[in-house]
Amino acid sequence: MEDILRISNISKHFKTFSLSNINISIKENCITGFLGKNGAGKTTLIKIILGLVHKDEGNIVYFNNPNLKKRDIKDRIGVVLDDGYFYDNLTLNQMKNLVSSTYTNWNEKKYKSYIERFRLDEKQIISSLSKGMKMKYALSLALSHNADLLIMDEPTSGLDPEVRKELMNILNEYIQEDGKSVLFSTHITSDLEQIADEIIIINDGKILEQISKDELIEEYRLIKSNNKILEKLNMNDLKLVNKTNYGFSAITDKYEKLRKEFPEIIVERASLEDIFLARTEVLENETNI
Amino acid sequence: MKQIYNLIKKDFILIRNNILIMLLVLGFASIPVAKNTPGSLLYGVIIFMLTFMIYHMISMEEMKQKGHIYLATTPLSNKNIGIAKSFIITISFIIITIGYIGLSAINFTKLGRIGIEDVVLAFFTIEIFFAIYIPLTFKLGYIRLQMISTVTIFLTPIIISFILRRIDFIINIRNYILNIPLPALILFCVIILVLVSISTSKTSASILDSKEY
Repeated sequence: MEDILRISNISKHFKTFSLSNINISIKENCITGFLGKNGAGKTTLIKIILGLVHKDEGNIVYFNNPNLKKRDIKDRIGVVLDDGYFYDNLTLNQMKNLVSSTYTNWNEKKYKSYIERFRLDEKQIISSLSKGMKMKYALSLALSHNADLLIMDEPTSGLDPEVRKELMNILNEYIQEDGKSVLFSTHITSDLEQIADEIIIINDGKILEQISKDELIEEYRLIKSNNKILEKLNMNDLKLVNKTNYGFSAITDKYEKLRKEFPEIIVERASLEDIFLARTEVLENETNI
Repeated sequence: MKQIYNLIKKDFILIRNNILIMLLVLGFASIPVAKNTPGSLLYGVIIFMLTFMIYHMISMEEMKQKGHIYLATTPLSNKNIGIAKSFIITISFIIITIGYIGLSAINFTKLGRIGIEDVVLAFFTIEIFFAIYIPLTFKLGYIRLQMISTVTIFLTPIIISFILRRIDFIINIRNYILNIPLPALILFCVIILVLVSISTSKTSASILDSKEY
């Protein structure tokens, strides 16, 4: 699989926050989840990729071609931003006319099919759309100009489960087409658990890791047992320890070793959320040391 | 061309709810002063104020609605954004001039008549002013520009009295324009429009290219 986007040594410094030495890549035909807490730097990095914020250092290669012009790059990227960022006074149709005139490969048929599928009214004013409808509209625009890379910044935050499920289905359909990729930033791990192939974890302006989702989930387990066992365990092997009067649960990547030593320990698959919290806890502890 | 058309249409839609009220208020406000004010001066003040207010309303809506951030992710040419803004000024100028000529033809309004020389002079002044002001909007943003606008509004009486003190100079320019044949005047206006559009688009594009959102 080719890299559709390659980011090398990107840094951006603000007064109170910095993105430092970012190195990631987005692979073709792959949904990459960009996971981080609020304020971790997800939106800043996405803005740098989209050219809305200028990098201080580093290099970005789009579509495996370092010589592509800015205009040609934007022509091949579909964008769904957190707040939509549309002109609220315009109708859906007026905004579409403005947006469609900027793309060379606008597909009106495709746009109409999405509008119909999402049951949107083109004559409706954008300000009257709910958050979910706004996201669907943004998706209709982003998918109607044959974009090869779909970049979405927190598209699911504040949406009900039904709309989120619908979005996941659309992304699954989109990624089936040859040469398409998705970069999807969120702090809602359950969405990524369903759909992502790769996970990038960002924390405090630094990339913690880029790894395949399956590998990441395979790396950790949730263990449970009574508190007597907990007393015998090395606390350095455990993350997110949750102790009650009845027992404990914790996340660990040493589960094979612990299972051999203490066969009575219950070992379960860990959720992506637990793994994410465990990984960021490790990083925070390392930073504090 | 389609991009520019859609950008102009978008800007007028953004302010459509306020534009009619603004025109009516200014129209009625100018009638009481019309009797004692020469048509050329009143036309000059009205056209400058209205184009300025229209442009400001658009900038304010742009700032509030933030649609320009989405547009910045599309392949929309920054040059076209500058061209569209200068066309908006020209279109507003034409509409207001037609409106003024129409109203001045009605005796009841007492608005002084204007000639081609007044229109050309106003056109030249406004186009040059906005060739500087439009890129400045992109550079400073609406909030900082508001301060400049407030200063401009406070300075208006001083500017008017300055103009009146140099009325001979302006009359000389008007007389000079009067001696130019109409086709040459039209050509002059077209050249001004083209030059201003090119200059506005180039400076706006270079500012917008380095802008962060």
